[in-house]
Parts: sequence; C-alpha cells; structure tokens
Amino acid sequence: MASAGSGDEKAAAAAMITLISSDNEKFEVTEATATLSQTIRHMIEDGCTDGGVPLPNVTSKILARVIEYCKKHATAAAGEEGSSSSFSDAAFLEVDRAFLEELEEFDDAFLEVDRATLFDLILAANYLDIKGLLNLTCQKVADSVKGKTPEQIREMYNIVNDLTPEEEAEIRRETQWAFE
Amino acid sequence: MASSKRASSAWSDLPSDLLGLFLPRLHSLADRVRVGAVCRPWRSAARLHYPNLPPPMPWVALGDRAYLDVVNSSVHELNLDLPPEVDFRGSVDHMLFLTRYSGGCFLADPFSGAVHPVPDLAFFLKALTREEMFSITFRLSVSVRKVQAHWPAPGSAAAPVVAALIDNTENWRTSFRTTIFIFRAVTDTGVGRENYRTMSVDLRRVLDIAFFRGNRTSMPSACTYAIKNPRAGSYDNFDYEEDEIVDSVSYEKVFPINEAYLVESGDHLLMLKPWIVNNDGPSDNGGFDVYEADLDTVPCQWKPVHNLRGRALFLGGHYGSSSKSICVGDGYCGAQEDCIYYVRYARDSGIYNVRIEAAR
Repeated sequence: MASAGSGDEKAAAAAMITLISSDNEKFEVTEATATLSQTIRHMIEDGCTDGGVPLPNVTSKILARVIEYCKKHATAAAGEEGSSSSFSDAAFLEVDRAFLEELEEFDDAFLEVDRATLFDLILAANYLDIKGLLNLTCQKVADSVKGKTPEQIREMYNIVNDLTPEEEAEIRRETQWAFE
Repeated sequence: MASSKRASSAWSDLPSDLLGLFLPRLHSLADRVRVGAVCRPWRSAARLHYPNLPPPMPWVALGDRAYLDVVNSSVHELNLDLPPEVDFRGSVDHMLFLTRYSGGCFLADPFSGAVHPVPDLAFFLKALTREEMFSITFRLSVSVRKVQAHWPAPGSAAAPVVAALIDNTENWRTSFRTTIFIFRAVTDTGVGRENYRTMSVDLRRVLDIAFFRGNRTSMPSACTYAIKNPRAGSYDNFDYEEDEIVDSVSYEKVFPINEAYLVESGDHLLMLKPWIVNNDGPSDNGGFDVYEADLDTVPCQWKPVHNLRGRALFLGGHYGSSSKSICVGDGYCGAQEDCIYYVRYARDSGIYNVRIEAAR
C-alpha cells in the first residue's frame, strides 16, 4: 500500500456503506468492514454505492452474520497493521499470537450454526467473494463429512437420495471398498 | 428468495463449483468417493472435479489386500482375485508385488483387480535359486527385497521398466550378495521380445535401489541408482561397526542404523538414513538424516539437506521397500511440508519433520 494514500485511507475507513438485504433491511458498516467482500470492494471502486448496496441474494439474517464476521476480521487486519510499528518484535509476536488465538476462537464459535445457516453462509460468502469466510465454511463442511457413510451425510444435510438403483450398483461395483 | 422456506434438500443443490471448494479439503480417497455417492448432483459434480483434485493421502499397504487410510485411521479391504498361494512382498507404486512359493511373480492392481504376471523375474529367480543349490555353500535362500517400477509416460505403449533388488542370504543371517535385475514387465509374451534385453548386476551389500529420471533432457530414460553400505565392504568386519556404535552411545545415544533409502522426490534424488535415540523409555525416538544427490559432481556426492523443498515423503512397506514423494506446496494436501511419514517395521512408525529435526 502506498504511504502517500494513508491520509485518504483514514478518511475512507470512517466512511460508511449501507448494505441492503433481500428483505430490504439496511445495515450500516464501515468501508473497512465492507471491503472484505471483493464484490463490494469492486462496487466501491466503480463508485456505485451511493444510496446503498442492494444484495438481493442475501437475507437479513445471513447478512447480519456475515457482517459480524467481517467486522471481527477487519478489526484483526487493522490491529495487525497498527501494532507492527509500535511494538518490538518479541512483543509484536506475542500480541500477534494472542490475536490469532482470539480470532480462531471467534471463528469456531461463529461456525456453531445449523446446517441451513451454514449452507446460506457458503452461498453468501461465494456471492460476496469473501475468501476467508468461504474457506472457513467449506472446511467446516469437509470436516463434518470425514469418515461418514453416504447415508450419514444424507441424514446430516437432509439430502434425498435420488440415485437410481442402477447408479448405486455401479458405484458399489467400482468402489465397494469405500462402503465397508 | 426466502431461505427459511427453502426445501429441505437444498444441500443437494450446492453449486458444483462450491462442491469443488470442499472436495480438495478431503484428503482421504474414501471420503471423496463417499461424497460422490450421496446424491445425483453431488455425483456429477464430484466426477467433474475428481481429475483436478490434489492427490489424496497415500495409503499404507498392510498385507494382501488390507490398506490403512491414515486420514481416518480406518482399514480398507480391496477385493483381489489372486492366484492361489501367493505372498504379499511389498508394494510398487500403486501395485502390489506378489510371489508364489512354487515360483511365479505378479504385480496386482488392487483397484482394478488386474493381476499381471512378471515372468522374466520369475525365470531369473528360478535360475538364481538353481545356481545356488548346486554351489558349494548350501542353505542359501534367494529373496526379493525391493521391486521398483518406472512407468512410461501416459499414452505411451511401452511397458514399464522394472528393477528388482534380490538378496542371497546365508542361513537367514547375512546377505552376502545382492543382485539387481532389470527388465520390462511384458505381459503378453512374444510381442516385441526381440527389442528388449534384461540386465543383471551382482554387487555386495546394496542397501537400496531407485529409479531416477531427474530433469536432464539428455537422459533418454530412467536410470537405476544403487547405494552400497560404505562401511561394510565385507561381512566379517563387525568389530569395526561395534566400535562405532559404542562411541555414539557414550556421546549422544544416537544409533545410526545400517540402512539407507533412496527416494525420487520431484527432480531430486534423496537418500534417507534412519537413526534412533534410545531414551530408556517405553518408546524409541527416531529420525532421518537426509542427503541430496549432486549429480553434477564426479563421482556423485551426497549433500546433507534440511528440508524437502516443500514436499512430503512417505516411506513404508517391508524395510522401507516402497516410497512416495508428493508435493504439498499448495497447502491443500493433508500432509505437512518437509515431513517424512514412515512405517518401517510394525512398531516403528511416525512423522519426522526434516526442517525442525524433530518428530511431530
């Protein structure tokens, strides 16, 4: 980041962006929080955020959670930048470690949601292009299916088995070992 | 779009590219296969993504048909239609190497179940055994310690080149001669036979062999490299070795082990020398010294290295008879960079980090 722009950035950080959910609820967030989403960052760069950013694919319930995530991680990013100049290396590392631990705890607690919310969070993270949140939620899904049978996965995620008996027989024939 | 009223099976509508985001996070082949068997959309999405996924964590071959899936700590059994009375002798990349007491050597693909006889090796072993039976020193036994294969480039019609490291053992005690036998694994006899030769070399005390292609364009095909035990020119100088060990014990309790493994890792040829620390506890710690071959010097020299260039090594089978190097640079694969995952004997296994020089 160019140092010449730091004054502008500070002004920009205080700027507020209005996000509008699919059910027409308005959320005021700082630009630092909003730009964790690449989608919104591009909108801001294109100067088309006056009068709010409509997000027709995201409900207010999910948007509130997404903003909660972005706020925490935006603070984390800002905190890292701020602390690097004012601490000695050792102290900085210490703060950094504590910060990361806190962030990890936040992420763990954040993911304590039901399957439907998790699903909507993945879609929202994908739509808003928030890399960290997408990684986090996809990892959660991956962890939850580890060592599970297809039947257990269907049960967990309420998925109807629409495979034909022929297809199932084919899968078994090819990879019987995976189902024993 | 009212998400609260969404049909309960919304998860099956997960867009294919999003499924492609969590599939690479499954490091076990079994998990990937099972995700692909959940429902139709997931099956087609999984099939679409399978070719682009990072390689799954390797399995450890435990015996005839049992495999240990390290990620889930579960054992899978693969159905194999094996010839009668075969013994599992190790694995060769994705194939099993099997021998039959009454003669016969086979490579078996545990997934397809295909069994390929390797008649040239069987003939060679038979000839070697017969030769030993009529020699002065009786009670010799011939056994295959390691088999390595060099697979042709995808799409090539050439048969893989196979190298076998064969021990001639006297009274099951010391190996007095090792033979390296190199041949092509041709299954249908007769076709193109006149175009290839087999080759054998007798050497004393070879520790390991490996194919290595490297990145040299001038090398037309893979070469077999062998390392010999530098200390033991002949097998009657045990006093010398005892001295070495006593010395080590008094200073740092580190036992160098008279073994070394050759591993092709990326564009480099590595030698791993295992050692153990006897800490009088219930378990022994172990690790490896790693060396990289500098093939530009004549003669070739081994340089000690302290990382694996971001790769992970898997060493397993009977006496480290099979190894695999995988790239974990993208962080997706379940293995950790610069680590050696090893199963040397039934009770000696673990993960050793080369960079921090400690067990994980």
